Amino acid sequence: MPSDLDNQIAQLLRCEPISEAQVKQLCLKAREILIEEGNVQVVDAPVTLCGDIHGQFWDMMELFKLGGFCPDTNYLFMGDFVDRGYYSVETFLLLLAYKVRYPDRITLIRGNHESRQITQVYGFYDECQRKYGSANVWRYCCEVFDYLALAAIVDGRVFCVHGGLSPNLSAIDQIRVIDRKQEVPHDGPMCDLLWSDPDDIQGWGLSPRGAGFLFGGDITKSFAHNNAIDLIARAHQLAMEGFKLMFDQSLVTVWSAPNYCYRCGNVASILELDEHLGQEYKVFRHAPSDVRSVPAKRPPAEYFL
Amino acid sequence: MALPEILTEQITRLGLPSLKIRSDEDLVAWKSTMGYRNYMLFLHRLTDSVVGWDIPRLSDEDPSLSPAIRGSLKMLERLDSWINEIPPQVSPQRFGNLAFRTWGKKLEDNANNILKELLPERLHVCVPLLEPYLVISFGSFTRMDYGTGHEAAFALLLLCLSLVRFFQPEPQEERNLVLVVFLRYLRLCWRLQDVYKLEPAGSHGVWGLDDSSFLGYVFGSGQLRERTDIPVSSVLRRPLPPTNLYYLSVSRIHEVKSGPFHEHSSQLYSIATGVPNWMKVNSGLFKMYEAEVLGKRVVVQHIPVGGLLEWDSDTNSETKQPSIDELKSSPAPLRAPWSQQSPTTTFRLPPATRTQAPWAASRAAINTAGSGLIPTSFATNSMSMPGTHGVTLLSPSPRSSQPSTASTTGPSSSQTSLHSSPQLAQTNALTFGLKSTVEDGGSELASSTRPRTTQDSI
Repeated sequence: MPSDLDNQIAQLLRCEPISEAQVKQLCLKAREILIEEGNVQVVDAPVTLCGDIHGQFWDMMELFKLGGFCPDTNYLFMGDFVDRGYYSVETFLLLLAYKVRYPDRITLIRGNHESRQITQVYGFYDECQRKYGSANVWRYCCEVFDYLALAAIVDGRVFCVHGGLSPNLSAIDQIRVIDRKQEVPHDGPMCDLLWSDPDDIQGWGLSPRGAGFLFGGDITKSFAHNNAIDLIARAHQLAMEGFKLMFDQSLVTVWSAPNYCYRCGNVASILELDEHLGQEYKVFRHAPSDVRSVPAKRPPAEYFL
Repeated sequence: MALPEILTEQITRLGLPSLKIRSDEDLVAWKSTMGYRNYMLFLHRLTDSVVGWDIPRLSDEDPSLSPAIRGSLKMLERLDSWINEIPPQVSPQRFGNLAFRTWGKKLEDNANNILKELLPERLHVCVPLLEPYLVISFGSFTRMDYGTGHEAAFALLLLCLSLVRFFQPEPQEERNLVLVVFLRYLRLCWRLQDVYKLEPAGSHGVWGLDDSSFLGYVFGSGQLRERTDIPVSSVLRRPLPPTNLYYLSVSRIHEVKSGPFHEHSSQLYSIATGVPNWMKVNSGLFKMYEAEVLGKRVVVQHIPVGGLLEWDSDTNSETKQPSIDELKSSPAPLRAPWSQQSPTTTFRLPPATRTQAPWAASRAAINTAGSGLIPTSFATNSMSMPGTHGVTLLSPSPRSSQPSTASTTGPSSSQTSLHSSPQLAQTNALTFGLKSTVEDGGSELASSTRPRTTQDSI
């Protein structure tokens, strides 16, 4: 007989939100699991790496159709589950329910959008308000965000992070001592891991985002060499082809939100790492319109009352 | 209510517009200034002038258009023709096309002459007061994005031109400002967005009214305000006739977006299905515009105020700009306040619909004088960025660009070099500020970490 959690997963797979009380319970359980994880979560191959989702629930279903559903496939999601899209609530809660149900089969690491401040600007806060009529669900989720791992390492050879490197971190071990259970700071190593971008420069550069840094191929290669890793996998930037290899294939950007914001026309990808860490990129397109749910009747904003 | 007139002899005594809205207190002060009241009055007058009117089909030379309207169309036509002269670069670009920077440079270089050609000689004295608005009306050349802040800058330019009576504040002229000039402006902005792939500035995704525009919905709902025979839900039909700016704006969304309308434009869908008449839509959009655009410091902090947009609040007297008369006697060349920060060369192209840090904007507020604070020890590995006038910028860590030595140094000392003293932390912030100030207009970033009030959550 299926457990409550299995029922919730089935409900969320239909893109139907669970109740506020269920969200509260789920978030509590998730925190108990996540608190045991390291800042740099150790993950075994084979595993499938995924980039930004941004609330594009039906496109994430395309991802699972291509890569296999949980728990048949091991997954590592590299952050930015929420904001901008229409279904951030359903997207994040499904991933969280999977995490609670199959903790060793799915790893979630934190993106720069898993933050109170960012979600108040870019949509997740508004979405929770409109779908639940209060900010409680947003608050529960934000508490979970604080517990998410900052990075992961697959078989000791593939370093996974949402944004990139930090001038304050030369060794992966230095990440392990960060006190991560907090809102994403405005600067410092924890901020940089979630905000930085690779760039065709030498050394470090200022980021046009106003947080994190730009880092060049020399920085990437020396980080890889010093930490005995083969590849840095990260997300955080739209890639029109779904992924982008840089710096003699020492770094890859994986992007998993097809036709981003309904207008960018890009494809998305996932990166399958086999048991020998062989890389296979699988590309997918956005979901056809007819698989989506029917429009929900929601009242207009209070300006119009 | 009549729109005030600013007489030519008053103009020379006015200070140049400058960035004055830095804190939330400044924002409150701004909302009580004459400039703000005039802007709202102007928007209401423009809206009232189009009630019941469709978009006319006129040629740019139609004799019913005043010389001022025709001149404005000619100006916009000229800016549009530059897009043909400056084609997008064919080299692979992540998203926005670097050729937009070239277009922007051309605008900055020619803004003065363009305004002089537009205006009769008696109004040439206004040009320094108008230039700041013209050059930020079409997007940020640094970030290569466009949003409601840029749109507001253009509307403010039209307001300034009405205050000095280049445009006459009477119904026919105001109607042509909306249905002819503003529409031409929108079409130019849409073409710029398409050709150079400009990203929406600070998009809220599906939770905002529109990725980049607002006033088209205000004016368009004004056109329909008394049309009880046209239901609000008519916007859900396709195709929509190009009779009003609301329909045109929705049609534009259909052009650039794919997917279900109720998803990607949930606000517009809620309005279409839940607001009973156009009167309510129009009044709601006015409230929403004041709250979500003019009420967001992160948007309006990029808009210069003062000058013709009277800043009669005494809270910021220390930022008073010299008047034109004072500047004429000064040896320094007259520069637009932001011109020192405008990019002179290309630099890193931002990726598409990239997220900006909300606090980047507040860092921008403490800008300009920062260069002197950068300790010389940090200047060694610095790089020169455009828009900083050759100021050497702080490299994150002097050692970190030398990997061989970086690995021998512990994290704590590395961290110390960046964050140990308040002064250095400040320097770091100022460095960001130097970069951030090149942003202009519409980046709708969070103003603070405060929990939102219900009014914020739309």
